[in-house]
This record gives sequence, structure tokens and C-alpha cells, in this order.
Amino acid sequence: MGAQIRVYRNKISSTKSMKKIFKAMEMIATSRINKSRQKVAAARPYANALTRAVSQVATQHNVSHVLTTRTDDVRRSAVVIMTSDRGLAGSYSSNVLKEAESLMELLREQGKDVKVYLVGRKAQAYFDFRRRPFERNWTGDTDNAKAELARELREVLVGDLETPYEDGGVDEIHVVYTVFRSMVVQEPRVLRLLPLEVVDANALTDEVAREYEDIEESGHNFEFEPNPEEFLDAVLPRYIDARLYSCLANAATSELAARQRAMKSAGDNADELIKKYTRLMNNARQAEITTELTEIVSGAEAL
Amino acid sequence: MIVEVVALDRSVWTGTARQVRVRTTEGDIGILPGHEAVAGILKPGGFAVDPVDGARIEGTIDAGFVFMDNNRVTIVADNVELTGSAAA
Repeated sequence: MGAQIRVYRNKISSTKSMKKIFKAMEMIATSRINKSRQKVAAARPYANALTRAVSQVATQHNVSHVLTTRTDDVRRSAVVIMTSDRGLAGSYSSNVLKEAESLMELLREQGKDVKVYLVGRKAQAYFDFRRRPFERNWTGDTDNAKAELARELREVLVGDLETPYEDGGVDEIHVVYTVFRSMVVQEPRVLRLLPLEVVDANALTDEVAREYEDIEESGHNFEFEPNPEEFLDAVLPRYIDARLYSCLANAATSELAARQRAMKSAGDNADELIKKYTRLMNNARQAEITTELTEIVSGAEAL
Repeated sequence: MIVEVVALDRSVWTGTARQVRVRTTEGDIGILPGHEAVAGILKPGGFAVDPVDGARIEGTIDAGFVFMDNNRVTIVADNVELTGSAAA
């Protein structure tokens, strides 16, 4: 009978040590969320300034630039999927992958080829497991957005856009990532990055959006130094960098929030389990004592 | 006019100013209130803002651009360093 108590005792102690791990991960996630949120907030003025500049210049001047030219006949699209490197973040990665799946299906239905770029080991594992091809992947630092990664992504993506279709180039680029709305709400979202949809009401703050309307009405003529083309050449890559960086930062914050929540509920579940096993253990012990007593009493009676 | 100096990771300075001087690829330009809309690429180097009240703000930037419309000047650069008294 002692065996059963031992089994429960082992289960309790292993659950206790798991609980410690969950607690630790929860605390790590919590401490990093704030930093990550600050990053999202800190990148906003830059992104807003660029958005304003690009939208005004692009709408007032019919400057054709490869990054803003829309092709009606899109034959191949690139899809960038931003997931996490590590698991233990609830359904964070699978939500993004689900969103990406439906986007890719939609694109294929429209008769477009899909070229896939992945960020995060979870996405890579997903594609590897299904033996599906992807173009390239980046791992590391999914919970800590880096401007360098945004730049590298942009270089690859813009390179693809500038390549003709016949050589494997793409006509449009979509990004699937998770928007951080609050600690409890993170939504997977699809952003069409290129060709630029310059006015993206969601990306603009109300203030900027209002300004944008004012300007559209007044219709300035810009004086360019040196000329519109070069100005756009210099500004658009930065704009894309800023957009990609904000996607990465949002994704990182969402990942941390998802992990914190997942670890919190894992910790709570561990508590429940410990309680349950303790009760079962007490039961077993009591049963053992009762048996022993019965044995003693019946032994004594037999004498 | 409203002036905004923005770096990649933060908003450096915002306020109203009498004059802004920046170095574009075509040469130095000064922007006064009511200047016509301008958009220019900036060379690495210094810039200066004269606020309506307070001392002149000077700083250096790496590559970036300046953008003015509706009496609102935006100086955008990857990195911005304020120099002199404004840095304190």
C-alpha cells in the first residue's frame, strides 16, 4: 500500500517543480513585456512622420516608383509569416499560422503563386513537418524586435519585388503578424506591405489621419531637394523598415503577452493538480492506516 | 511653426520655432514660418532649431530627411544627437 503514497508524492513533487518553472517563465515574460511595449510606442513617432511624408508626397506627385506601382496582374505574391521561436506561448504561433494558411489559400484561389518567408522557429517547424517549401527563414530574437532584422527583411523583399516575374520575382508582399492590442487581446493580422498602401487608416493615429485630410484638400506643391524620385528613393526604404519594425515589435510583444498568459494558467493548473494529488495521497494514507488497524485488531482477536 | 525632430527610436524634440536650419544634399537651407512645402534629403551633419522661447537647439544627425508642409517641419533621421546645452 505504501507504493501508492509514493506515487502520489512523486507526482506532487514533480508538479511543484514544474510550477516553479511556469512561475519563472511568467515572471520573465511579464518583465519583458513592458520593455517591448515601450519599443512599440517609441517607434511610433518615427513611423508616423514617415507615413505622413510618404503619403503626402506620393499622393501629390505622380511619381512612379517601383515600390508604389500597383500591378493589376499579380502573378506571384510573397507572404511573410511572423511566429515565435519557442513554444509555451499558448496558441500564439498557431493563430498566426492559421491566418497565414487562409491567406495563402485565398491567394492560390486567385491564381497566384505564393512564395513564403518565415520568421521564427515555430513557423519553420510547421513547414518542415508538412514538407512544404519556403524561401527563407529567420530565427532568433522573435521576442525582442531588432531594427537590423527589419532592414534585412526589407532588402530581401524589395529585391524580390524588383526582380521580374520570370526570374522568380514577386508582384506583392503580405505580412502576417500579431497586433498587440492589450495584455489580453492580440489579433493575428494580414498587412499588404508592398506595393505600398500609403494610407492605412489603422496605422495612422487619428491626429495624423485628420491632418492627412486637411492636406489633401489644400494640395501643396512640394519643393524637392534634389528631386521627387530621389526623395522617394531615400524615404520609401525607411518607411518600409519602420512598418516592418513595427510588425516585429508588435509580434514580439504579443508573443510575450501570450506566453505570460499561458504560463499563468499553467501555474494555476499546477496548483489544482497539487491540491488534487495531496487529497488522493491523504486518502491513500488513511486507507493504509485503516488497513493496518484492522489487521492489528483482527490479529489481537485471533489470539 | 511646429517643429518635430524624430529619431528611429524616440521623439527627440517637439515645439514651436522661429527658424530651422538643415543641411540637404543640395546645400544648407533655412526654413522660416510660412515656407512653402519642401521635402529634402539630409546629409549627415548638423542642424539647428531656434525655438520661439528658449535657447537655440543644435544637434547632429546621420542620414535622414526633412519634410515641411502646413507650417509643420519634421526632421527625421535614424540617429539624432543633441549637442551643446540642449543635450543636458
